[in-house]
Amino acid sequence: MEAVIGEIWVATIPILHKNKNGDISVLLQKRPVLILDDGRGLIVEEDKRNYHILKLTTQNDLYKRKVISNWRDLGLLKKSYIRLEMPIKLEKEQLEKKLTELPREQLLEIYSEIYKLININSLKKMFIKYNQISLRKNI
Amino acid sequence: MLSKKEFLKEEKDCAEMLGMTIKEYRNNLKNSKVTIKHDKKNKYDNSILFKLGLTAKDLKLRRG
Repeated sequence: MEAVIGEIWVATIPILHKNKNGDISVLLQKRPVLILDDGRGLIVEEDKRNYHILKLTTQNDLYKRKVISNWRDLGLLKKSYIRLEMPIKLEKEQLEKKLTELPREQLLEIYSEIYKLININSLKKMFIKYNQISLRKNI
Repeated sequence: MLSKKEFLKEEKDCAEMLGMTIKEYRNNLKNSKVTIKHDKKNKYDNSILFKLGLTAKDLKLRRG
């Protein structure tokens, strides 16, 4: 079974951890995640090996969050929030099992939040600037 | 990057979402194996795109 856009899966994610001495190590976490792109090129260029996800959490503190108000109907065990941040890249093998899927309207809302998060205008300006420079070079 | 305290807090968060105690969660994580065989020649069902108001033309396909 392949994970598909809009589905919520359990995934294993590496986390950087810093101890009291400042030493850094990599630890693992297993948590529900929302699939935003399954490698077909919806938000990031096609890459059939990798997925882009957002983490789910029950904590409503540090990050910008979007509550899943119908968490019970979706079969989630606790009131959950989607962490709104740059989507994280995962490999297929990190995805363990499907839990549920997000209804269309909620999914569209999450994509809207991601759109607002990314500075599309500055990226576009730099794209145009680079093309102008390249064009001048080639004249 | 997480401190020990933050990591433990997230660990509790993860365990709760998966319906496990911390002990069960840690054992589960320790014994994790890749159990799903992924089909390398996976063909996408683009009906999800239609639901989102898109078509296959909106996808950013790999060039070259």
